[in-house]
Amino acid sequence: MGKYIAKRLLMLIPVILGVTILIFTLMYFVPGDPATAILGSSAEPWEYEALREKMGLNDPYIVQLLRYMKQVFIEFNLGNSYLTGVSITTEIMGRLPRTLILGIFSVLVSVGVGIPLGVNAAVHQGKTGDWLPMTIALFGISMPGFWLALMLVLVFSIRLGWLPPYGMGGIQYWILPVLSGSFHGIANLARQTRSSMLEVLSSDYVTMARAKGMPERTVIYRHALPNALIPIITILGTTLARIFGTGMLTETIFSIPGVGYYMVKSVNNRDYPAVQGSVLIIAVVFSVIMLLTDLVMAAVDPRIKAQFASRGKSKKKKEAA
Amino acid sequence: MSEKFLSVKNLHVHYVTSDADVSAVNGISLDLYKGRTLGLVGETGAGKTTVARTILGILPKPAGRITDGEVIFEGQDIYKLTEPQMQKIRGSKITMIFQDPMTALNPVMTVGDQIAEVVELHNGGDRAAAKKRAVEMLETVGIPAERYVEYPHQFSGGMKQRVVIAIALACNPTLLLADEPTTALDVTIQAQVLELMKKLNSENDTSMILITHDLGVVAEMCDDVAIMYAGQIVEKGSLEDIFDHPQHPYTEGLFGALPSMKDDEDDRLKPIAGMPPDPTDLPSGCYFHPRCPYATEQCSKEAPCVNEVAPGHLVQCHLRTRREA
Repeated sequence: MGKYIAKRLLMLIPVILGVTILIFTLMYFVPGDPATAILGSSAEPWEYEALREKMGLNDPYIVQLLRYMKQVFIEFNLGNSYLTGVSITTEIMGRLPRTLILGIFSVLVSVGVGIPLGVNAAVHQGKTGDWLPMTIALFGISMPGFWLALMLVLVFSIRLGWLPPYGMGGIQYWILPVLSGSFHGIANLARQTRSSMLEVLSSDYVTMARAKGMPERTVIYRHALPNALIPIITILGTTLARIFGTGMLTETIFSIPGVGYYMVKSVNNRDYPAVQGSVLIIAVVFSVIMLLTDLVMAAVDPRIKAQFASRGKSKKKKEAA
Repeated sequence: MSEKFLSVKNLHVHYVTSDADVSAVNGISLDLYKGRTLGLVGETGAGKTTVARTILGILPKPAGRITDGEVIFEGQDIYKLTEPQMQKIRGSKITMIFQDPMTALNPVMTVGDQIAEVVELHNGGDRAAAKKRAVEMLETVGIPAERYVEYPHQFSGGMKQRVVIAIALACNPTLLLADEPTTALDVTIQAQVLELMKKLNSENDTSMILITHDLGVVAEMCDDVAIMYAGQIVEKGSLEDIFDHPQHPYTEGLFGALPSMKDDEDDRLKPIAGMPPDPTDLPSGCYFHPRCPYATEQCSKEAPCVNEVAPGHLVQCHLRTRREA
C-alpha cells in the first residue's frame, strides 16, 4: 500500500508538468497582448515595444516556456502579476484557504445530506421518502449552479433578509455559498446512492444477511451500505472536481476572494502569470483529491486493494525475468 | 418414524406486482421429520425456492404474499410470530444455503467475520466465543483457520460454498434449507460438498429440505422426495417410492429425460414435451395436462385431488384416481 501511494505521488509529476505546459501554451496563443493590457490603449507604439522587450515577450515560444518552467519548478516562484506586480504565490496562498473552506464544506454537506437521502429513498422505494427527495434531486441536477446561487440570494438575502448576499465575515457569510455549491452534489449523490443501494438490496448477500436473522437496520448499514458506497466513491471524485470547478462561479457571485475569483479576474485582465499560477494550483489540488479518492476506494474494497498488491507482484516478476 | 417438526399446510404464495399476479406456490403441504432429508424436485420456476423462502420468512418484499396456508415449526405457526421473534429463529434454528455461492457472500467482509457475525447475533453478543466458533466451523468445512481474514474474492466457488455451509451450520440449526447448493459448482466439487453436508447433518441430527432439479443428487442425499410442478406437489413419497414406482406422468417424464449409461436399444432422451406453464396464467384443471401424454378431457376441466397409492406415497393425478376406481 505504501508503495502504491509513493507511485501515485510520483505520477503527479508528469501531470503537473503537462498542465503547466498546456496552460502556458494556451495563454501564449490566446489573442491579445499583455503590454496593451498593462499600458492601456493610449500609449505610444514604442512604449508597447519597449515593454514587450523588457518582459521577454518577443522571445521565441520555447524560450519563454523554458524560462517559465525554470521559474516555477526550480525557483518555486509563480512570478509577479503583470497588473499589480505583487507575487502571485503570495496572492494565491492568501486566497487558497477560502477556496478550500468553500470546497470542503460543500463536499461535506453533499456527502452528509446526499448519501443518507439516497439510502432512505432506496429503503422506502416508491413511498414519500423516495419520490419527494428524488423529484427535488431531479431539479437539483438540472439546475445551473449560478442560477440557483442567484435565486438563493434573491430569496434569503433580498426578500427575507436573513443572510448577507455577498462578502466575507462570520459564518453567516458562508451559508449561501456552501448551499449553492453543494446542492448539485447533494442531488447527484442522492440519486446515485439510491440506484446503487437498490441494486445492492436485491443482491444475494443481502438476502443472506436477512436469512441470518439480522434486524433490517443491521442488514442495511452493515451489509448493504458498504457495498453500495463503492461506486459512490468514484462519483465522489467527480463531484469534488465539479464543486471546485463551479467554486469559481460561486466565488464570483458571492464575491469571495478565493483562487477561483482571482483566476476569473486575471483572465479578464489578461494577467497571464496569474492565470497560469491559479490553474496550476487548482490542478495540484485536483490531483491530490483524486489520489485521496483512490486511496479511500482501496480501503473500502478489498478487491481493489488486492489489485494493487497483485500489480506490484506482477511487476516484480517482470523485473526478475 | 421420528418426530414431525415442520409442517407446511396448504401454502399459497403469490408475487403481486403492478402488472402481474404470479401464482408461485399453489397449495403445498409438506411434513418433515427430525433428522430426515426431503428432496424438493422440479423444473426451474416450479416454486421450489419460494417454498424455502416462505419457510424462512424472507420472501421479497413487497411483492411476495402468502395468500393462504400455514407453516408450523416446532409447534408454532411461524406467521403468527413477530418479526423480532422470527429473527431469533432465522439463522439459528432454520438456516438456508443459497444457490449461487459466488454472490451469496458479502464481498467487503472477511469470510471469518461473516461466520462469526451470525454466531454473535444468536449467542447473545459474545464476540470472542463467536470468533472461536467461526474458526472451528471453518476447519469443520475443511478451510484452514488462517484463511479467516481473507475476503470472498480470494476463494474458489467450491470454497465459497463451504463458507456458506459453515454460516448455515454455525448455530447448529434444526432445519437446513439447501437451495440448489451444488448447481453452481462443477461435478467433482459437487460430490465433495454433498458429502460434507451429509456428514455434518448426520453429526448434528439436522433435518434438511434439499431443493434441486438433479435427481442424481436426490438419490444420493434424500430420504423422502416431493416432486413439484407449477407450484404444486404432484407426487410425494419415500425415495424408493418415487424412484422405483413413479406414479405421476410428470415424475415419469423427469426420469425419462435422464440420460442413461446403459447401452439400450432406444437410448434417445425423452424430454417432456412443451414448456412449464406461465405462472401468471395457469391452465385449467390439472396444471400438467397440456404436456401430459395421458391427458383426457377430465384433466383439462377438474383439478385432481391427492391420492395415497401406498402408505406415505401421495399422487395428485386423475389417472391414479381412475385406476383406483
